[in-house]
Amino acid sequence: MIEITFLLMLLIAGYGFGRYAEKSHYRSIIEREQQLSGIPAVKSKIPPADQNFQSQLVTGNVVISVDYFKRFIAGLRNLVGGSMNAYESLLDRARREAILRMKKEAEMLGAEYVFNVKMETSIISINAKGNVGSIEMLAYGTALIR
Amino acid sequence: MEYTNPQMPEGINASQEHPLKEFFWLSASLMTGLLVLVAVAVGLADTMVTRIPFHIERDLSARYISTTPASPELDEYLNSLAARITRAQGMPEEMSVRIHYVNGDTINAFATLGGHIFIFRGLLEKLPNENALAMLLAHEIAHIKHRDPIRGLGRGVVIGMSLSMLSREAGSALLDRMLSQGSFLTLMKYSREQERAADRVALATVHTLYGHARGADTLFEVLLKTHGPDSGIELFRSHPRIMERIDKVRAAAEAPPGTTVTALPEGFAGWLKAEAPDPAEVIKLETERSFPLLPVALGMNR
Repeated sequence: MIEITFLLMLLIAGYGFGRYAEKSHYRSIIEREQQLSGIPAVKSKIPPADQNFQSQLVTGNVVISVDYFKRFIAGLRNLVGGSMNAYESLLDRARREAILRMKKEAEMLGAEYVFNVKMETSIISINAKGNVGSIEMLAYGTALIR
Repeated sequence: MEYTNPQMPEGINASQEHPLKEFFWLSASLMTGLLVLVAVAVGLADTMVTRIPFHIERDLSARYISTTPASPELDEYLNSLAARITRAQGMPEEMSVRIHYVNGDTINAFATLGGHIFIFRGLLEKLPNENALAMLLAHEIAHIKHRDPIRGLGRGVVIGMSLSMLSREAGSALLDRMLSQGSFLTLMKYSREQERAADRVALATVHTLYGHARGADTLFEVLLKTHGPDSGIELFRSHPRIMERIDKVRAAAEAPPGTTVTALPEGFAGWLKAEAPDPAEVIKLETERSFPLLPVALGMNR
């Protein structure tokens, strides 16, 4: 009984904190995406040829942790298969946050564009059971500064 | 060329579905799956345990059953009545039944592993005639004939093991209870179907022995009176199925006018009183039963 109570408490705590963190993170992401929409980040490798740009590497890096509730749902999902909604939102947040941080760096350099944007991701902590602890997302690109 | 990063609508890369919805669906379907598995395992255990030879069951229980000595007359009377009933029920050769008298006030009787049946003084004192006693013994003997005690044990072990997958603690607590010394004498909960089958066989047996089933319902009247609405226990009001069972027995017990019930042998009440209570023995049995006031063994706790 103690085990089950403990598990429930962890789940409730994980859900409460995780949900709150996710909601406020999304709010902030959407707000900052609008603020930084003046600096387009694109995948293209070929910068506009008509202008003479100075170029510089910009990076945005973020590490986001999985909460207990997400991990639990993922565990259940592992048994039956299907899309891992719990982790999808986590990766979505990480990807967008990384791009935002990269754009922020570009903004500080007075850049007009970020070209050749690339993403890297890695799991930076994994426990003995093989459960994902937290994920890292890195976005990097070439800031074009006039 | 114009480059822009327009604001994309939400919910494309990450599902907008409420996580609790997913949680409940996943846990509900997994629980259902687990329950089905457990049910299959219980079913398998149920068919397999009945193949355990009765003598193994008897040896297993022999270590745990200690007899309270009854007065020789009472012991002989109860066991000879039991012998008549086993013959009437066509009990297989290798099976045997032993009645133990317990000098305790509890109004109860129960059958357990190894063909042992325990009857408390409290219940014997309340029975007005032999027919009611025969009904009681026939019901318990039917449980033994159907191998209900060992089936109950098998079920308990399987459920305990499944529970221990979820929670080691809860599972092992149940396993402990099922396999420890106490459980051999205690709570053997039978399913409604098992109780109904035992009732049916018992009524048929009483009919074979006496030519009618009059008096068989007296047993239930006694239990109803001591455990029923008047006793303040909610059980009977909230469990209509028990009343249904009693009604069935009552209907079967109707006999043409003129049929008489068989009296208990002379001195029966004396045999019960002759024995000085053996508190140690009684306490042992009664504390192991976690709710001694309910007529568990007759399945009236359902």
